[in-house]
Amino acid sequence: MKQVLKNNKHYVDLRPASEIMKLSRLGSFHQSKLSFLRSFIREFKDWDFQTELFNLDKNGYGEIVYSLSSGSKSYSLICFANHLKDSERSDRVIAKKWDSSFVLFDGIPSSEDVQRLKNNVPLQEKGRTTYKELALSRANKSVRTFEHVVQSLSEGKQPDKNFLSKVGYLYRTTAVYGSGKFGLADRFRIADRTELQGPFRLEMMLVYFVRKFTIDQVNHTAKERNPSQAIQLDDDIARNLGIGNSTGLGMAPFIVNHPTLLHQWIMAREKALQLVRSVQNVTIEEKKVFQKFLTQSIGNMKTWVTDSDYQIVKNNQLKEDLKIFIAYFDISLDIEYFWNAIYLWVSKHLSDEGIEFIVSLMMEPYGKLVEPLSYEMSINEDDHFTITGSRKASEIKKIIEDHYLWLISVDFEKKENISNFWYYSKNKQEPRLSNRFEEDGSENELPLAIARDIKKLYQEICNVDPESTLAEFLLSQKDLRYVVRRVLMCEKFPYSEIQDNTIAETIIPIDMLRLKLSYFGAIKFDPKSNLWLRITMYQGAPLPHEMKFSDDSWPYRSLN
Amino acid sequence: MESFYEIETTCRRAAKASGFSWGVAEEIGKTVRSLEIMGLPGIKTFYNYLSDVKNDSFSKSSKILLKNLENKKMYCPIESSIAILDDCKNLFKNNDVIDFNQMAHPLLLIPMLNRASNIIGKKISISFDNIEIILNYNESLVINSKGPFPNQTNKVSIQSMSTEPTYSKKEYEDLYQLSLETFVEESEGKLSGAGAGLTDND
Repeated sequence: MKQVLKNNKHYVDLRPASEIMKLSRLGSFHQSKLSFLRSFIREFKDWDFQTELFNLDKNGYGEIVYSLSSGSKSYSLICFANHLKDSERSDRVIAKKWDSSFVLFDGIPSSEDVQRLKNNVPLQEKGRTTYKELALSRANKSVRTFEHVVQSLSEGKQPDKNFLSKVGYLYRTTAVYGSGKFGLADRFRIADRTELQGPFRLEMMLVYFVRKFTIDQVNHTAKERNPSQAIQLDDDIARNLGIGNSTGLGMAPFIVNHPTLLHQWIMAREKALQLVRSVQNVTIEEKKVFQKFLTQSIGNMKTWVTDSDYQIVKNNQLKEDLKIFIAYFDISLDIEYFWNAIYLWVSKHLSDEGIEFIVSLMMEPYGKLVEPLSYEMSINEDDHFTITGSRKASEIKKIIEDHYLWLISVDFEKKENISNFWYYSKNKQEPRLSNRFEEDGSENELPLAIARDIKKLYQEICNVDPESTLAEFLLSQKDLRYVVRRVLMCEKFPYSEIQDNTIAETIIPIDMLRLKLSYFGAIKFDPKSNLWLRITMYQGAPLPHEMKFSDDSWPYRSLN
Repeated sequence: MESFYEIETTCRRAAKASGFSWGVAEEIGKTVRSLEIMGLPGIKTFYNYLSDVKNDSFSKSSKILLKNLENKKMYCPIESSIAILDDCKNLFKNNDVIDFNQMAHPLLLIPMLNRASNIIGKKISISFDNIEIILNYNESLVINSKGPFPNQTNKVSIQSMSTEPTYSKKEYEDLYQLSLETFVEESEGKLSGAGAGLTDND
């Protein structure tokens, strides 16, 4: 692997934001070496896993405490498993009871801590946590898989692999909270810890622990059901079980509300692609790694089951793309800058799904180049919050013309371009999307109509003295303050803005979810409507006792 | 107890619900959070401030001058501090005093003026009702009062401070000479070592 810099520049430029930041493209991203599930396992693979407390009754209800430790540092997950009537089981955010609830604790909890949390964690949003707790979650059983596995094990046989591979998990989480929510520790309290220098590290840790809990719970329950005959779940089957997740619109505004963070995520991916395309001489071994993971991915796609017409089209498009690609790849020449040639061909001949799938796959042979980028995916957003009021109106106009050219021609007087509004639901305590002309509440619209409001800023700024300052402009244009801030951010962080109208009639919010979830490392996207979807996390990931041996190739392990 | 994230989020939404734009509400959320982190009564002050917002007690915001004299209504600490923050490079370039004759809840001025201190690279002093505050580059503040803090003051003065040193030249020079004692004198042998200065010009 040799990289060549021309005049201190990479062999190729970064892809422009105008090409990448369209929602249809962002909604075609796939997991990669930069995904947070994978960087979590890389970071913590050498930590020691322990079960600190195992206190489940014969039905599998009670408490378990797990820990991950290295030297004097420890993190623990406290799990509370409860009886739940079938009629009470709901994945919706408005649910009040769950099969199990979880809290990630900073250190090893005392029995007093466990008791305090037992009174609060099962209540989730209605309970309170403290700065000693780092993340909070709850999950419901996939009743059909859970019962099938328990019953099979209790009868002394392993569960049906084909059945399990179609579902892929025993439990679905319905929310994972962190960063100060419900009294949890604020981000700044832990921001200087080296092991947490990646986005959503704690949330990923929590979900990883939850997966272990689900496996322990089925083993325990089966044993209690039939002590003389029950067997343990085979590791090969357990490893292929992940954690499901139901995700609704609440997650979509995150990527709009955190522009500089979004930039860091996209920039890391773009830098990774640039580094790989700039490799001058590609070895046979590197090509073999790519080829192997491509083959395994195609095999695993058979387990991607969905009823969503939208996703079926996307999945079929990807399969079609890969068929064309394989034919090309088999005859591709051994030339310098091989991956650059591959990328140029792919970008010309494949759909968004295929392009971004291959981009993810191209990173696989290059751990040393790509993995360090995962430490560049966080940012202190407050450092970029303050508006520089001394900037001239003419400069703001220029920034908009340079970075938001696409929206200047959009007519926001037309109904179809403003038909939706984002709001915070009183009932569901989460962001939602509704039709402005059919539903009440648009007076409480959230500041997510970025394109419309930046167009308004552009119109207003064109009407003032070009030499006047932002300080003067904002004295009378307070409604535009939030977009002025974004425009100034976008000047420094070009990947900070989705280049699509998020209130248009044609908006597909599921694309916003897909973008975020791909960075998490989710697979098996299964939209249940335009507004929510199910995914799977950690399927194929090493079990805790195998973490030390992980080579980061687990997302491609054959699932059957 | 609420986390600072919760405080910021709740106050941002409360500000929006009270009629502020989202952009201003964002500033308010950060202001209250910052006061609470510093151990000052941010929530209590903001809570009382919202009553005055409801009663339409504040004058309309306008360009900040060196003498801001309002006869009928009080100056709003949020609007005023935002306007100062936005125009801080201009307002503080000559270290002039900026006076307001009637300012409500002056404690709310602190966080945004602290951010202004960071931008202009100078300390900023605020004084009202025998309370003196020095803001240090958005890193810290010095205050001579534990409160209570007034809901209104008849005069508040704001001034950037010259960056004159607080020590004499001799005091610094003495310290510098002392610091030299940690250095090691180079011998002939060391001078001819790798990368040594004298041989580099050969």
